Amino acid sequence: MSGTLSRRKFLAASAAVTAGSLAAPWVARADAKEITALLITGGPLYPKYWEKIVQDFTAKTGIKVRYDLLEFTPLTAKVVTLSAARSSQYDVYSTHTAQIDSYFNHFAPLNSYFSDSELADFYPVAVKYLRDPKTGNLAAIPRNMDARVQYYRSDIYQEKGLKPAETWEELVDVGLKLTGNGHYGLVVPGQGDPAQRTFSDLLWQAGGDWVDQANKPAFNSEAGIKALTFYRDLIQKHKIVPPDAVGYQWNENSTEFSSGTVYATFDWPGAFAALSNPETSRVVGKWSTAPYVRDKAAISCAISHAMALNGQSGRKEPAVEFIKYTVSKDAQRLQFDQFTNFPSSQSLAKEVIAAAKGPQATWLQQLETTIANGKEWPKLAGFSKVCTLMFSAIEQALSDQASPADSLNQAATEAEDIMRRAGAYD
Amino acid sequence: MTEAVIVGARSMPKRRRRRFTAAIAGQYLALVVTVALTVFPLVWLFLTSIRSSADIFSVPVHIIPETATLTQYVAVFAQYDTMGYVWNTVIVSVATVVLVHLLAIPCAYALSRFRMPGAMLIFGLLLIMRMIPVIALAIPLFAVFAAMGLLDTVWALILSHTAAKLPVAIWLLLGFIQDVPKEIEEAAQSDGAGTVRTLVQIVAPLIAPGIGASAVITFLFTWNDLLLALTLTSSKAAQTLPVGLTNFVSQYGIDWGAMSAAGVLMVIPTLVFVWFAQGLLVKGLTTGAVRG
Amino acid sequence: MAPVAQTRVSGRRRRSPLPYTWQRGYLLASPALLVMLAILIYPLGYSFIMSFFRWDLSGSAPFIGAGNYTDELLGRQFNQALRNQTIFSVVSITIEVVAGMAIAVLVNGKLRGMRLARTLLLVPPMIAPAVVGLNFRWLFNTQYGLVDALLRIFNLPDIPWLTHPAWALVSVIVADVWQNTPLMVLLFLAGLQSLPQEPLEAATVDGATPWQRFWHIVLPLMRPVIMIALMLRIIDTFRTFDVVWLMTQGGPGGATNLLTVYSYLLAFQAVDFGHAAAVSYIALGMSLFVLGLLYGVPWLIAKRRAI
Repeated sequence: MSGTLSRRKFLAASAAVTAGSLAAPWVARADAKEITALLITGGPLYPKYWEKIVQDFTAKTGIKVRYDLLEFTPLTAKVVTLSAARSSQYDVYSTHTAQIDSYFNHFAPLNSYFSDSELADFYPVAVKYLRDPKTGNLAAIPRNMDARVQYYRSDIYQEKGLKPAETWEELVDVGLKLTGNGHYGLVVPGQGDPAQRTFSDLLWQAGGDWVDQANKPAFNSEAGIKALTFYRDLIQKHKIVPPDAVGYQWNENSTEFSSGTVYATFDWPGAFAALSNPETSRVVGKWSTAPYVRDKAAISCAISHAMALNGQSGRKEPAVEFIKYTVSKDAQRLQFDQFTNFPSSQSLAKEVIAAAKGPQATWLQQLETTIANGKEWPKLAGFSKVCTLMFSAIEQALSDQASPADSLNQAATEAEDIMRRAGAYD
Repeated sequence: MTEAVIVGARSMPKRRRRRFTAAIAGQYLALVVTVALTVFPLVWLFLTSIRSSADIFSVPVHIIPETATLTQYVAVFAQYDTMGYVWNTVIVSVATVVLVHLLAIPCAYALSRFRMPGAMLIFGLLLIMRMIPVIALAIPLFAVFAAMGLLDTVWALILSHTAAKLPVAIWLLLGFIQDVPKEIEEAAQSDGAGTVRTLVQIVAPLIAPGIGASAVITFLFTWNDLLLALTLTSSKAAQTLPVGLTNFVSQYGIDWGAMSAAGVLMVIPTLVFVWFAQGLLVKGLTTGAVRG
Repeated sequence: MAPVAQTRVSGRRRRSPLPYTWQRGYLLASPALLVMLAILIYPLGYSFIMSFFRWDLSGSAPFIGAGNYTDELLGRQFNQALRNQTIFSVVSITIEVVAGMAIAVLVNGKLRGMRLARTLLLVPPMIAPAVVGLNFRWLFNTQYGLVDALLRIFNLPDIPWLTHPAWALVSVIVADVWQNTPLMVLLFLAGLQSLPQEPLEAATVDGATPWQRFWHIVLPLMRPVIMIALMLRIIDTFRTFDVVWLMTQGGPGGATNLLTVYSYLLAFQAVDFGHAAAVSYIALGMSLFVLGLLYGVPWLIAKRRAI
């Protein structure tokens, strides 16, 4: 810790010297009645949602919240920058399971603020992967669940007498029957984090996992190679996925389906709202949902958007009150009503599923099944850096630069090295 | 400008007639090909911006839009609040130009006229500062502005752009000042003018074209910047147009139509300067280089 | 400003008719130098120092000497980025300079439409790299993009511009060449127009062919301009980020990872600032080294010849 301290002092002191002559207008805000938050947005409905949540919270507690909104990708980069600078500009962050391991020593643990019975109502899979496996500290609290189901063009499927695929084999068969005339049977993303998500689902479905009992990389097992080979073949061999998918992230993946070019995809809960909205979708009323495909197992990722407390915050108590409010049932219900974000509270999820009707009810049940069987990649020290490596390894296989086996074996060797140096085995 | 020196046909007056057709035709061909290649990506940007969203994703591709529509431009302003971005970008760019020149003119004057020990060191530093990858600075720069309490204000952007654009401006102005005959300054000084007055009343007007050139360059490079704005801002209070451009990429889709429309808007100042201040732009881009 | 005024008052009594003293020089230069020092040099120094530490969010930051540097220099991903950077810089600079010179020579005349052409040439170098990157990503889209649509008209096969490793590198080079060749044309045109006339006229009288005149007279005279053009492009290709990031994010599989893009991934995805800083400084060092070669080698040769 002493290293950190001196480094922090060096940074602060020298920056203060720099700033000194400029008579900075900055005054430490000791006002406990106001906190700051950096929150996630996406689409036109989100800003209104936060406005309402913050208003209700202030009305209830008297604590004011000043907040800024960013889309997911810029938000992630911004939180990295803020944390690197040990900034206390924001007390509360929107965060996500994906990169949480980088922040285990940076976000303040929330364990002491939530009782066991309170935590028990959250989906266990969500809470599990927001904990530091070393210390058991809870780095963030889930606000809504992120999991995927299959979206398919019910009109086209009916016309061609097809049923949504349930297995890997059917996925290829159905895809081949749909592909042609500039249309494709399926789209999957193939770049960066979305590529790793897709590989990860296939890895679990094939019966593999990221690490073994000793936390050593195991994604280059037979199952892993089978998964990556299948993934590559969807694009390169069967050609049922648009060739550009190798460069797609979620947004272009979704656009291929919502523009009507591609007839099936696996997408997040938000897609349900986006596809129902004529402003963002050309296929309104022409699609339906189905469970994610399966191979040996029916597993895919179940992660969550979450709220975290900045470890540098000087207003932890009111900040935690706000966090608690954002994950309260009221807030989660509003979130579901406004943009069908799936609750992280199990009891609320049961309520909304019971109240839902028609296609929405089917979809929610499918989503709930995904979450019940859901997993996430391990939150070991250094795994964020392993992810950077995996992006490259998966893309290399997808673009035929290396065989799936070679790229996974290479990545496994390097991953073990990275995790060892980061202290995952200490 | 002096008569252009032609490497091809024109410098051989006696044989001009005989070689006229082939050489000139070749030149025209080169000109047309160059212009076509220069223009077509921009035309495509414009065509995408006047398509309907349905037409953008049509297969096969309609090279000429089926119908022209302004809906994307309407969306850019109505749906994405682009006016705020434009306003921030204008403020940041204009303030940077002013600040850069208030600082750069005396500095360039000092470096070209005064016998300063360590001048070589300063030149070296200027060059290195021109070479730094902005990525290397992003996080510590963020820390500096966090300590100043200026994060997410246009001031953070103005100050960082000022520092980043100073080396180029100083370099450019140096060349122009060196062209001013020293005798003019000496005459002014023997009339009792001090250093500052000489600079403001004598030198500055003489290098006005140079100042104009570096102002145009500074403006456009500031206008175009993405990385600094991305690093130092997190709200509408200070985000600029290039950052706004990245907002058309959301988790559930890329709005190519609106993004292209915003791209066209971003290019407008360039087109304005290229059309109305072409001479200054060419000077700004070429002066330092041609002088050697 | 006050100190300057004081110096002026005391200096006005003509101790010297040329008050170009170094003190005054520094007074005039210092505001600009201070701003650069505070806003550029401090962060530069900070991240340089931190490149010798383990620098992440893990809570401890031990000094690890050149560890970050040796990790990267020996690492596979860095070396892939270095290879890409070398190809990117060498190929795009070569095309830009050669094509720039060819176009400049060809269009350097009083052609009809020349003014308009020169106006248009000014546009690409002056528009935002972000716009260029997004626009080229869209142009090169296999399904909806213009380029493959044109290929289809001529019954040519689709080219996987952004998704095949080699083509992806070609694509980002094309975008860079598109944006920067016009700049080279403008530089070389300005250079051609300030050439002395006499040697060319003498050569013409001696019966030299246009090619001989270009190769033996124009090119040597243009050397200083070419050197500056090379210098500008070397510096900027080592800083290229926006265009590549928005076109490919360094993919597929790192095939278009340039040093800056790799550094960005290390900082913002891997959350490993120490390694990211080390990569940035290796990039800076390399561009300094290449510039050193560019100016140092001809100087050494000239020196040896002089002896």
